[in-house]
Amino acid sequence: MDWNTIISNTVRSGLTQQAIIFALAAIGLNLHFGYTGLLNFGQVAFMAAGAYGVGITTSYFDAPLWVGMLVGIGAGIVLALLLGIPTLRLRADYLAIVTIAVGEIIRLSVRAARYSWLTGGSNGINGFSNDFQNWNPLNNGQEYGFRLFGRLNLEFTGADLWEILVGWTVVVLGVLLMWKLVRSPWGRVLKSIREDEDAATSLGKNTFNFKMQSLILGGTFGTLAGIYFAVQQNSVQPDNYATQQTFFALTAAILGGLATIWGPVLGAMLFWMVLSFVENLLIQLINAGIMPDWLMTRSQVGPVRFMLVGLTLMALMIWRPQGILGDKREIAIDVRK
Amino acid sequence: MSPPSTRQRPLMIVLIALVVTTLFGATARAQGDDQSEGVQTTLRVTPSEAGADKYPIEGVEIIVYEATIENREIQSVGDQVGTGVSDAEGYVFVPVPEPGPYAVEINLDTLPEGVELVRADKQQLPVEARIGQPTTVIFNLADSDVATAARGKESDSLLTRGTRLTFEGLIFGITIGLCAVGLSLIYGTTGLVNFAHGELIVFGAIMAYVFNSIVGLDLIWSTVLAVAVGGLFGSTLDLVLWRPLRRRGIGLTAMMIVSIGLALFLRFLFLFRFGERSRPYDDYAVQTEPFFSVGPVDVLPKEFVIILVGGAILVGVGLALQYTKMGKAMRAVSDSNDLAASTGIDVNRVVSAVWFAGGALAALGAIFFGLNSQISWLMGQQLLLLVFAAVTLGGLGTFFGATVGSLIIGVLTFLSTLVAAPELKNVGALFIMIVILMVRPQGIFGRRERIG
Repeated sequence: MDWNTIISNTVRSGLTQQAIIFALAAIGLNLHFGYTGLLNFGQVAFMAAGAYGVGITTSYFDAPLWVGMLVGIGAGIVLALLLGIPTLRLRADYLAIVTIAVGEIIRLSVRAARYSWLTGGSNGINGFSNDFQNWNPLNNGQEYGFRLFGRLNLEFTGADLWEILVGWTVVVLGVLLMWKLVRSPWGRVLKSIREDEDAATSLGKNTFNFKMQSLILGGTFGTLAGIYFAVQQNSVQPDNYATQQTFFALTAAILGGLATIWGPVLGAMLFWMVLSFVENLLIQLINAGIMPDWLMTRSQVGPVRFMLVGLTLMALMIWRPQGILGDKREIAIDVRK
Repeated sequence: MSPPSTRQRPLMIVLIALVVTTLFGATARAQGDDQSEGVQTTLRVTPSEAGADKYPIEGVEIIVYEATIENREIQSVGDQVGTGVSDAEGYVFVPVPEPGPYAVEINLDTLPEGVELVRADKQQLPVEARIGQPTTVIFNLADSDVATAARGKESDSLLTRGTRLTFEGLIFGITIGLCAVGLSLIYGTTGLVNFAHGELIVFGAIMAYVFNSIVGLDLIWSTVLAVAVGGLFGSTLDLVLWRPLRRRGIGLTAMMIVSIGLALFLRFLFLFRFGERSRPYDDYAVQTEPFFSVGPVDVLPKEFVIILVGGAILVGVGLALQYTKMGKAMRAVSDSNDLAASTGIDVNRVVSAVWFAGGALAALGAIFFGLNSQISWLMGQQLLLLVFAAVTLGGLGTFFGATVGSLIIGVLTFLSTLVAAPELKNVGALFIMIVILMVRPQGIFGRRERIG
């Protein structure tokens, strides 16, 4: 058992690209669910809108990467309007079903062979964001080593380090924006909608508009997650946008603490650290022959990790809906009266 | 449809333990087992003379390639894996190195004079080779004049194709309906939007597979057992999870998210034990001879059974809800938990019965689906959204709405292939759901108050 590898891999996955992607998606879900009480189960639709926005603009229309990013954000806003107009007047669980359906509509459409001239079908779109690495001030190929607590070694290539630095910068800017917003009068209206929409309406607030603004802004964080995912991978794959991604991000947000500023970020980091820890531990147990073959083989480690996610989500919702940082009184687990 | 009472609980636990050990023990064995995988086919030709038997042909070459398959269509073809030539019985067996997707091609140059493939686009067939046993493919061969006549049928008018698709859609609608009724009843009685209903579907499908392919029972008996076990699974979930949560007074949104967690857990548990591959049932999956024909529609025996049994059960559930004591109690609980309780109805018992019915019906729907397609750990997730679409269309929480909504969604899904690519047929159904929510959010048969 090589505990040093297990722990350094664990720490690493809390800091790297996947944690960043899920932090961004979870910040958006937190604005929707944590602050406004909107059940958006289709955050992955926003991610796909962003990712395909960049991919299609840069590869099919040959536009520069920054134009692609703007188009991606625009696509997310349009999607929020399309989703919100029919559903925001309805009860919360209708929004949940419609958003999950739209996520699946988008995934099935972009992977269809019929539209592969535009979206690349099930192969997706590849090799469109080389510019991002060209903007890298660091040396792409060079290894940068860090030593934590005197014994944990973390090494990143220049390319990775650039992606990570840009990603966390976006996350921190997003968190600062959220911090400003939820303390503003606007943020207080959102919370009042979460607590009692009728009361907010009776105070003269146009709750539909506020909910729409929340949907757009939270969706934009999902879009940013998708854009970052696409640019960093230099690739868009339709099956990365399956419905369960939303639920993983939701688990991360609940784990950290809904209706808190740092909760989603902490949750996303912990989510990937736990997944990585379990994976590394199980693989080492299998390699060392401690885990018997009939119980688990190497290809079964993946599913076990996600079974754990499901159990975590259940346990959190039953015993600790406020997660690590949250306040139980602020959790909108009973939006539907 | 009677709920397992407290007295039956020990029996239930024994049954569940049996199922769990079967599921875990048996699939593990299936994974370790590794013998004669391969593709087999028997080449037989439909002759010109009416009423004559099919005759075998010898010396025809069959070639097997590596391939990727999606939705039972070949996506890409890779290296050649092996070839074989048919014997005097028309039989060919081509071994393959490992289970998985392959493309099977018939070499048209080796066909005797006057024999043709009925559909020229079916020269390559997709196949998922199974573990440890030959997997069968069928090439539809006929004498030239018969083949030409049959081909005329393929390029039929829009009306004829529409009729056939409507028929297939109705069958699919019955399949979804069986799953939707449970979802709708659970919603009606407990207010829970059960995102784990898709996993009840997969559970039923897998249980039938275990009884059929691993224990070796006939699929009919496997279905009976799987439906019973599926019902027990439903009421067990209610007993160990949902009832304690209701007692704690947990919110409906929280329950919905718990059901998502449960769905993720079960889905990946099925992947963990059952693997990634799709599998067909051993019995009745391949049928080519119609039982009878109505106009342009050839009704296969299995399709006849699905319509008969599925339809009868849906009607039966509807009548039971209307006229039996338990059915009336279910509707009373749907209308108001508190009022029902105050008239002396044991709400927990009713809800337990609803979960039993939900699990059993979902299992039956899943097996019907598996007969026409294949079963996999992902099928629940794919069906669930269509089930949601059906239930939303008909009106959440009502039996009649769920059934009619399912039939409409089933037919529309299949009819959409007239204009859209088949791979996009689910998109149409989901799209319809969103449109319905825009114009009539309570669904066709729903009551206004339910949209809240």
